[in-house]
Amino acid sequence: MKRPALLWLCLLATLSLLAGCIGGPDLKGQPFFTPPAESSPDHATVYFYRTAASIGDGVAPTIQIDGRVISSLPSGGYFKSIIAAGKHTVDSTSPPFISGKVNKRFDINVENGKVYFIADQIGTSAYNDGQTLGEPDDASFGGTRFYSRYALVPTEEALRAIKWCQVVPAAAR
Amino acid sequence: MLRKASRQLLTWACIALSITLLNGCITSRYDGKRAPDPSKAIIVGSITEGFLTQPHGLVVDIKQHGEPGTHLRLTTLGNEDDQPSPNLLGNLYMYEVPPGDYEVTGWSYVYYAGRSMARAAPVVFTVRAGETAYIGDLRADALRFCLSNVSNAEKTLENLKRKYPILVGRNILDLTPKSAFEPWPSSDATDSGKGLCKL
Repeated sequence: MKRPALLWLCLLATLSLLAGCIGGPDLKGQPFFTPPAESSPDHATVYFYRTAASIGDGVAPTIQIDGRVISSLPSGGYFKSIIAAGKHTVDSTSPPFISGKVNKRFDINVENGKVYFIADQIGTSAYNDGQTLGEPDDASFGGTRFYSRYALVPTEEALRAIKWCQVVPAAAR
Repeated sequence: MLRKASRQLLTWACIALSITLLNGCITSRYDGKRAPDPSKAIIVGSITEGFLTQPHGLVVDIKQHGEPGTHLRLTTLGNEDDQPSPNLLGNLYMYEVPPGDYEVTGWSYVYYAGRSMARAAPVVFTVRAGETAYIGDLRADALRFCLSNVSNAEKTLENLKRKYPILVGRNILDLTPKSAFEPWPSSDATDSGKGLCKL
């Protein structure tokens, strides 16, 4: 094979592989969330979800609780985590190709028997609803300012949104 | 040497472009000026977007299951405007397609980054050879960022027959019990307190 052709093929293969690295698990065929949200009397139940995103759709952060990797959170996905009552630190880490660093960190206080919904959100207006966990981010893309954050969402509101999300495959957890 | 390399680059660029174009083979509209092919089906309906200041280019994709996989791309921009209102842009359409199962696979706006959310229940309808089928009125607006497909058969079929005289006298099946769907949000939709798709 000629050298330029080989270079083009290598470039194509590299881009394909990198896309697979940052995009997170494939949700095709995964079940959608169906209520009711499950709870556990001896633990707290935390649902993490992220409705389909217009910006950063192909990037899936990794969620850690108290330093333990729980799951990645692709656009349109959700997962459930059962944790002990008390205070916990949640880290969201961007994929290695982007930075591989913790880019959002916040604490949550949870109680046994209760269900919590934490959403990874992005929007075009600043959030002032009191639901933000940790510090929100903002950045400009294509002349538009976008705001991103994690939010502790009231159950009623969360159930309206999470029904559009599919469970993240176990292999990604 | 540079010239040789450029030629090779051009060849690869042409191959990539050809693959891209073939990949996106989209069925063109049927104008009814020739007799319909009895081995195919005719799909009719309408697509409309509502807007305040300017249209944003509604695009709806309908794909056939299996091979060869006919792909219909319904668009508001770049087509005739059959809507009399100054705040609506849309058209009545007619396509001649191979019989089979078709799915409304997604939708978006040309001038917004959002794309339709994944659906728990796919929208699938079936057309048979020789049939003419009305699949509904697709409608979206850039306030709610949601697309719905509703049955408005009586009025829309009347308008379709006026636009496409070949439909006059034909038995047109109403497939909306299968093809209609409730408002379907895009990733640009936001919850203003009542849920997505509700103001």
